[in-house]
Parts: sequence; structure tokens; C-alpha cells
Amino acid sequence: MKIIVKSITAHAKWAWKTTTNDICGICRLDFEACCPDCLYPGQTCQIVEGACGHIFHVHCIDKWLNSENSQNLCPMDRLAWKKLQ
Amino acid sequence: MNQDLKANIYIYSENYKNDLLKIRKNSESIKFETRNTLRSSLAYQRDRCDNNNKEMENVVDTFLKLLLISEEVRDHYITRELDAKILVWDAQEWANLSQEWILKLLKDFLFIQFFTFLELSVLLDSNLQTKEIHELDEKNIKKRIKIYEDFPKLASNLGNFLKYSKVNLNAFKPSNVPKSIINIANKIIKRRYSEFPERLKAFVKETLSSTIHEFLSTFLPSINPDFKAKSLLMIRSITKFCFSTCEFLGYEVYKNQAQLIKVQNIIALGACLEYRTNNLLDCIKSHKDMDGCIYDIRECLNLENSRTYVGNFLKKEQVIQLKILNPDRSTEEIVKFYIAIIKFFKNVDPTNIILGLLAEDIHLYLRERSDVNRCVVSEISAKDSELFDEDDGLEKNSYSSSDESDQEQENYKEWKPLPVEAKFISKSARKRNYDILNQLIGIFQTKKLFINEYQRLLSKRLIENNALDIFDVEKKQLDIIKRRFDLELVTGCLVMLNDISKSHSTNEQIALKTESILLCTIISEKYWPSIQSYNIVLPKPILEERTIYSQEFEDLNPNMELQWKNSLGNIDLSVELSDRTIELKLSAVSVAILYAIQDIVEKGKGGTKSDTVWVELKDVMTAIECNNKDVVKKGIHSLTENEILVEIEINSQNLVSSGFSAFVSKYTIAETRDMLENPHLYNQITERSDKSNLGSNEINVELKTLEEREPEKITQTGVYDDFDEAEDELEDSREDFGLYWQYIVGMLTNLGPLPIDRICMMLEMFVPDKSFDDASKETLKNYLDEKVRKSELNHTNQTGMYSLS
Ligand SMILES: [Zn+2]
Ligand SMILES: [Zn+2]
Ligand SMILES: [Zn+2]
Repeated sequence: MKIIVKSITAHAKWAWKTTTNDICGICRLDFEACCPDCLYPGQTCQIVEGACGHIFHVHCIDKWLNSENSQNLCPMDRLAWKKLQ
Repeated sequence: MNQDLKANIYIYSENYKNDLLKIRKNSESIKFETRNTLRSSLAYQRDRCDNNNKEMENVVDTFLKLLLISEEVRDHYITRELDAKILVWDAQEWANLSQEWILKLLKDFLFIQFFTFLELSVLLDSNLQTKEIHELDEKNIKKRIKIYEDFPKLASNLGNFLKYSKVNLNAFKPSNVPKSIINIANKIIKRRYSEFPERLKAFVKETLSSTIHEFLSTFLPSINPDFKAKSLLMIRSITKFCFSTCEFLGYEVYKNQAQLIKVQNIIALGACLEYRTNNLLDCIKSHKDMDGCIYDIRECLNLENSRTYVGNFLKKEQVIQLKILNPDRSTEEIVKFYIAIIKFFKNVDPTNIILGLLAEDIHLYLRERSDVNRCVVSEISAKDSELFDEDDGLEKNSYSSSDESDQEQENYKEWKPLPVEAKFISKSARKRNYDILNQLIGIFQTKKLFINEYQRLLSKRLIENNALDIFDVEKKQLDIIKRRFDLELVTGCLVMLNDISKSHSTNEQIALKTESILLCTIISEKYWPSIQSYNIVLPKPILEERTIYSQEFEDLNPNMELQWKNSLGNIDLSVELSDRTIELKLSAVSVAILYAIQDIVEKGKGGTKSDTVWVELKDVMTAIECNNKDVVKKGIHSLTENEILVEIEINSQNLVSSGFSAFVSKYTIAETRDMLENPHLYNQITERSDKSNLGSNEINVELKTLEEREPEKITQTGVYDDFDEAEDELEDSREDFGLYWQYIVGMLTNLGPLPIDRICMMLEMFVPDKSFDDASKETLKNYLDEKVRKSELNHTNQTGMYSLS
């Protein structure tokens, strides 16, 4: 018997490479879900990791950093927020 | 003889007439005697006629004459007796009469009924008028009043009478009324009616209405099956006939022409409505005479309070309970019926009042049914569902408008105020947009429940079908559903469809670069209601394609990776066998099985026909590392069904001791048609080899259950290589489940032996945020099996129970 594969349909879930199974510390939603301001998850609502090791939705941390009392600190540990690379 | 008799009766009746006229004021006993004679004469004549047409007609002729006579002498008792006599004729007898005669009889009969009635009114009234009321004995008055009361009954007799004759009522015309009757009528009317006091006139009107109504409602149900014509039209013509008769006779029941028409209408519509409502549900169900039904009811709803009548009839009379919300019916059936009802009422009653009256009961009932959500949603999203098409039409008309009343305006070409009856349904129900979809969604207690179910089934459809094929339809449906819900509720569904279209473009991009033959549905798992996937070992060609795809995907999305759902998806294959080539589509599981079996067979193969290697279910499960028997069985089934594999059942007594059933199915690749036709010819040697230690594959695997598998015993099956990986996975998971070990010991101590599913369930309860999918369940199972190997746990194969050692 010889089997020739002509075409394949398959299913996979996508995941961020960097994340643990944690949730965004700001919006409390999964990283693989989008932030509350977005409709669709994925590249349009990315995540970002800080030097302190905390990860947030880009939109969430931007919103935080733009707010008065953020003083450019990570909302979790109050260390200066700096994007990893 | 008969002719003689007829002549006798005729002559006698002529005499009788004269006599009666003379003795009109004479004693009751004479009247009684004469009546009896007449009656028995007619009965005699009737008995003689033996269903002979000619004779029948003679009987009718005599009958009519007697009717006339009895009217002439105002002895209505005769009429009534005769009614009874002739009405006991059965259908056969009526059928023997010619149309012409039935019509004649019918006309005369009808006229005389009215005639009798009016005449009696006059008699009674004149008695009352003359202020000699005290002179009339009470008995007499009662007797007369009784006749009034009987009149509707007589009318219903007439209905019965019509039931048996297949009369074409369109032939009814007042001008056909026999001259003689008119003459008599005129005599009486001219003399009497103008003198009618107002009170009596009102009474006449009322009784006339109820009489016609009675007549129609007895008569109509019986004729329906034979009449294709719309019953309303017929009812109208009958009513009109009745009234024009009255007019013609000069009764002037309704002096005002407009009022007459109005009353005619009310009576006709009322009768029609009652008749139609009685049969409505059967009609909707059987779909028979629907056009007539729709036409009639729509017309009838012009009547005041008609909507409440229909609604309450269907509700209060337990009609709905009996015909629809019946425990014997499946939920699917009820939902389908309900949709038909919504469609019907939406069509006939744009005010939605009737539906508003009915919906609540139906909804309350349906909510009690556990499978209603599934049924409703699958009905809504059925492929051939017209619900969305209909909505589409609406949408185009009222797209720019923002509220429900526009739809109403759309339906009412000219504005009409809501009928007063609208007050019987709640304000919110009145406001609701009663399209079918909304109505069905209304069955769900909350919109969220509906959407959850919708989303679950959408996920299932998108996974099970080629998502792209159904994408457009699903998109259209979702767009319509979206407009009825808060965006928040439909987000999940939107993301799912967005995943499909994004996957499509990713697939196209990747195919351009690599000529990949793999099309992937890339899902945002958080938004897809639980997807069932099993961890199985896939064959190399597929894994290779995946690796290429994953690589390309990561090139496009550097911060993302793909995690494959192994058991999902389909593969188009061409399978080249020794004497044929099969082109087909198989599930990933089936393909994995096919490769695994090919692998086992190739390895154990010798050079001759008798060396065919047969593989058991257990072998396959081991090879693809899948613990779920049903999944593997299903996968094998589609291979045997497509005649790629061939199956034999072997009675392997030597295996009984090891706890397996005596009959074992074995499979091999059906290289030739001959193998499909004579599989047992290829098994003789193999069976022997079971006993000798020849077939290395089988013996080892057969004697070992998966749960007990130990790497060194399976070395020859070719799964060994992969097993290291499995072992590694086990190492990883051991860490995780170590945390749960105390819980597991605790529950086994307290609850006794438990199956894997219960253990998962309990852990989900104890451990916050822990939930088991099939993959993690499998890992837990491996963990527990290892505990079994270390003798910390016991496991019984038959029951699948784990217990403490
Ligand atoms: Zn966030
Ligand atoms: Zn966002
Ligand atoms: Zn931080």
C-alpha cells in the first residue's frame, strides 16, 4: 500500500511565545484574549513584557502609563516601567 | 301501490288542509290525531321507497306539501315532527336524491324554518299584546317559548341535513324560492311584521343571528373536506342568502342597508372564525388548505375582539396543551410546530396580538424541556432555515430605521390603529419585534443562554465542516443575530468567525511561499467553546507538513506559536493498493490509524499470502497512543467502510484467561479485492501463529493492556521510539499532579474506589481554577497508572476504578 497525502486541513490554537498561563494584571483577562477595548485578539492586541518581568496587553499598559498617577511605574511592583528590549 | 299511496296522501292532505282550516280553533285532540295519521302515512311511504330515486323524490314532494300545509294552518308541530322524520334519513338515502331535489327541499325547508319562527313570534307577541296575558295558561306560554328556544336547534338540524347532501350552495339564489312559499309568507308578513313591537323586532334580530350562526357552525365543519373553495366565501354567500331571504319576504329585520351588511358580515365572519379556529392547529400542522385558512382568518380578524377570541380559544381550551405542548412530542417537533404557528400568525395578524397571547405559555413550557436550547438553536441555524431569509427582506426595507414600529408600518400599507384588544397583552410584548427569530430567542430565559448555545453549536459546525465553505452563511446569520444582542454577548462568535477569515489569509500567504498542502484553522482558543481533541501520534508526512507550516507561521508572527489539535481535521488521500487506487477524505485519526497499521503490517510481513499480519484494536491504540477506544474504533470504522481495511472476527479461546472477550476483531490492509471477499483465507496461518510464539506483534500486545504497558514489552511493535517522548511528558506532568496527590488520596480514602472521570471532577472542585480537558485527563491517567506501577494505587481494568493499595 502506498499512501499519498494530497491535502490536509488541520486545527491549531495560537499562543504568545512569551507568556505563562497568567492573566494581564491590569484588565485581568487572559493574554490570549484581547484587552477590554479591543474586539479581536491576536496581532491587533499584542502583549508586552517589562524589564521587571510583568506582562500586560500593550493597550492596557499604554492606557495605564498615560494616566496621571502612573508616574511611569509598573502597576504591579511600582518599579520604573521599561519595555524589555 | 306506491303511486296510489302517494295520491292518497296528497288528496288526503288537501282535505286535511281544508279540514284544519275549518277546525283551526278546535280541539287539540283532533289536531293530534290528524298529525299522527300524516306522520304514519309519510313513514309508510318512506319505508316503501327502497332507496329508489323516483320514490324518494315522491316522498320529498309529499313532505314539502305537508310542510306547506302545516304552515298554512299554523300547526308548527307537524313541521317539527316531519323534520325529525326526514332528518333521520342516513347519508345513503340523501345520496340517492338528485341534486335538483335536494336543492328544492333545502330551499323550502330553510324558508319554512324562518317562516315558522316569525309566525310564532307574532303569535306569541299578539298574545302578550292583547293584555290578556293572565288568560293564557302558563303551560301554553312555556310551550311557545320553548319553540323559540328550539329554533337554533332546528337550524342545527338543518346543518345536519346539509351534511348528508352534497349540495352546491353556490346554486342558492333567493329568486329560486317557490312562488307558493312567497305567497304565504307575504300574507303573514304584511299582516304582522309592521305591527311588531320594537322589543320583538330586537328579539327577532338577535335570534336570527344566533340561528344563522348555529346553522353555519353545524353545517360548515362537515363540508370542509369536500370544498376547495374558501369557506369564508361560502359562509358569506349562505349568510347573504339567509338575509336576502328575509328582505325578500319583507321582514325588514334591518331597515338600514348599511347595518344589514354589517350584521351579515359579523355573522359570516363569526361563524367562519369559529370554524377556522377549531381546526386551526390541525390545519397548520398538516399544512392542508393553508391558503383558505390564511385568507379566512385574515378576513375574520376584522371582527372586533376576534384576536382575543382566537388567542383565548387556543389557550384556555387546553388546545395548545393537547396539540402542541404534549409530553409525547419531542422538543424538536414542538419547536418546529411553534415556528409554523409563528409564521402563520405573523402572516395573518401583523398586530401580533394573538401571538402575544400564546407565546408565554409555549415559552414557559419549552423552558422546562432540557434539550430546548439545543433544538431551538439548531432549528435557527439549520442549513435550510428560512428564518434568516425572511429577516433579510425585512432588513432591506427598514434598514435605516431604528425601532420596531417601522416594521409595523411596513406591514400596514396604510396606517391602522392597534385594535382595542392590544390591551390584553403586555406592553413589552406589544413592542417586541415579532419576527420568528426574535420569537424563538424569546424562549430562552436570557439572551446569554441563547448565545451560549449558539456559540457552542457554531464552534461545532466550524470545526466539523470545512469552515470556509460555511463561512458566508454563518457570517450572514451572525450579522442578523448581532443586531439583536449587545455586542458583548456576541463577541465570542465574532472572534470565531474572525479566526476563520484570518486563517484563510494566513493559509494563502503560506501557500504562496511554500506550496504547503496544509490548510490550518488557527483558533483563539479562549473564545471557542470546548474543542474536543485527543492526543494521538500522527504520521510523519503530516507532521512534516505541520513543521513547515508552523515555521512559516512564526515567520509571519514572530511573537506567536501554534499548538496543534492533533485529532481534528481531515486529509485528502490517494491510497494505492495492489489492485486499485482509492481517492478519499479521511479524518486525522483515521489517517493516523492507517499509517500505524501499515507500519505494523510491513514489519511483520513475510513473502507469502499466508503471512498476512492482522492487527487488533489494542495494537492500534498503542501505536497511536490514544486511550479512547471509541475514537479509535470510529477511525477504524471509516477505513473498513472505505474498504481500505478488512476486518475478521476470531474466536481466540486462548485469550479468555487474560480477561478479553472470546471474539476479537482483527484488521489488516485490504491489498486486493480478494482479501475483502475472503478475508479468512488470509488468516489461517496467523491463527496458528497465535499459539506458537510466531507473530511477535500480537502476542505481546494482546496480553498487555494499555494501562499496564511497560516499555520493554512493546519494543517490537515499533512504538518504542515514541515512547521515550511519552515518558518525558510523564516526567513533566508528574510535577503538576504531585500537588494533587494529597487530594486524590483523600478522596479515595473517603469515597472508596473512583473512576478517572470522578477523580477529575473532584479535583476540579477542590483545586481552584483547575479544569480538565481530554489531554490533561490523559496526563492524569498516566500519572495514576504510574502510581499503580509503584503499587501505591490499585486499578481494576473491568470497572476502570482506582483505589488505594
Ligand atoms: Zn490587559
Ligand atoms: Zn487591545
Ligand atoms: Zn512589574
